Amino acid sequence: MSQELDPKIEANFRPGTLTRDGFLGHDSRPVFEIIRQDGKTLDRLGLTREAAADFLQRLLDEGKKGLEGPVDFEGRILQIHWARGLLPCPFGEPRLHSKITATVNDPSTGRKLRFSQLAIHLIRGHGFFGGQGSQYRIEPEEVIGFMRHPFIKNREVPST
Amino acid sequence: MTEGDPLKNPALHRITINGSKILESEAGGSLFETLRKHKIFLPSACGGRGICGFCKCKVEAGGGPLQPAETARLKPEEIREGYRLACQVAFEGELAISLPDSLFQFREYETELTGIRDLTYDTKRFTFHLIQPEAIQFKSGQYVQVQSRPYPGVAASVTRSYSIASPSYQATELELIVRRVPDGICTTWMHDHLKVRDRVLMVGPMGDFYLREGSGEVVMVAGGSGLGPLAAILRDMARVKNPRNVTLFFGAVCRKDLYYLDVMEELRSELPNFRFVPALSRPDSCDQWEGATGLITVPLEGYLRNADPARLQAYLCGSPGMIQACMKTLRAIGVGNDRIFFDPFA
Repeated sequence: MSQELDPKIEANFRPGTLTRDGFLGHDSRPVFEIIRQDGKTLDRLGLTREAAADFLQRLLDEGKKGLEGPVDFEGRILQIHWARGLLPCPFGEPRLHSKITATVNDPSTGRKLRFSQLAIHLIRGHGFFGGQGSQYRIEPEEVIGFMRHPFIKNREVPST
Repeated sequence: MTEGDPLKNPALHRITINGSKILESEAGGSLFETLRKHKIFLPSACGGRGICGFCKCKVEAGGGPLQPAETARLKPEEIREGYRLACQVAFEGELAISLPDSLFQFREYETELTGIRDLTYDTKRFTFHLIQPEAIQFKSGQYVQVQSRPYPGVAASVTRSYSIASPSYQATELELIVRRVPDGICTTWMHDHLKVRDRVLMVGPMGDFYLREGSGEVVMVAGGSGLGPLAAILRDMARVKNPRNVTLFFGAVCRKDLYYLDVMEELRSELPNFRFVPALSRPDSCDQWEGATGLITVPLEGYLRNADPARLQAYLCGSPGMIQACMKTLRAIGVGNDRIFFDPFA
């Protein structure tokens, strides 16, 4: 059974309503279809949306400690940008979200992740990872890549 | 303020303000919009979309049922006392509301952009000349609400709050320092589409961020665009040769994030007891930085060891994260909340 969003709610996802670029990128699929297909990917990867959100939230929280400067964390470099103001959820929920964007670089793999506080809520609360081409789209595989890549601590040098 | 006789024109509905002021207008839209049409501007960071919760007012009669955005934004005691979000109240029928007198001081200003100066790679200073009215009275540190215009890809206007970066004695021109927000509707408009000679509407002045009376020490902490309003306060102080001890900490990541070093140098020569302490949390090797390093809370903590928390006033302006971190540091040494000042935009 297909679900459709109320047109007023759907408008929230478009560019210029809540954010400059919106949440859908060039994706022409309905929002619930995007959620459904990403849900299938999550199942295939054995990843829950809660686990993905928890991981991203942990990164963001660590990034906050740098007060917008870079933070070294488990071999990754985190940096956040925190603007004044609040953003609402495009699904129309009343709760507001801080305007924080986070970038995570893994120098050992060259991987990069970019996401926002709102994006974490959208993943946790709605299973929405963003439309294809959206600048805040997070591929579930990317999250797994960051979660599962082992951080290899410096090996101890045996004493002589 | 009457626009017509409701007996002759049944389409007119009425708002009674503070028991005496009467507005009559055609129904439709929200209370927020209707008040705005009559040049009564309630504070708003979201332009009346039910997001910020700033437009609360007491509705004595009428107003219809509470909307979901209101139950989320208003405290239970506020709801019990009859407070509503004006942007969520449909304007129809008879309404009776109470508004504080201070609200009637907000005015709408038509301005013209006269200059744009790049301060850093992501921060610009915009200078606006006041057209109508021709002058503004405000306290250095207050803010205005700026109304953006549509631009390619963005069909609607939004309203955003920006602190005034010019001093209060500069009554015919306003300066705003605006840092680009990733994916931000209004900062994108200002940085990429606004041109010299464009007309821009603003409402204000608003806010409680300004220098309080006192003889005790003042500590200021700025991050990002927050240096603007603090520099405005300092320029006001310099004009009257205010003798108070002031230390301003400016936190940034590396040298390319710093600006207004020339302004700070001027202030150092004009203010007898002013000290400026920039601190970089991660200077690049090419920065050749010999100043304070680390998060801004580090030099702040060092300074506070010798401060009297009972007489100190602290003024914070920057990202919410910086403000939270500095408040924690200040409270830890005993500076009370009544002596810490910032604009709670977030």
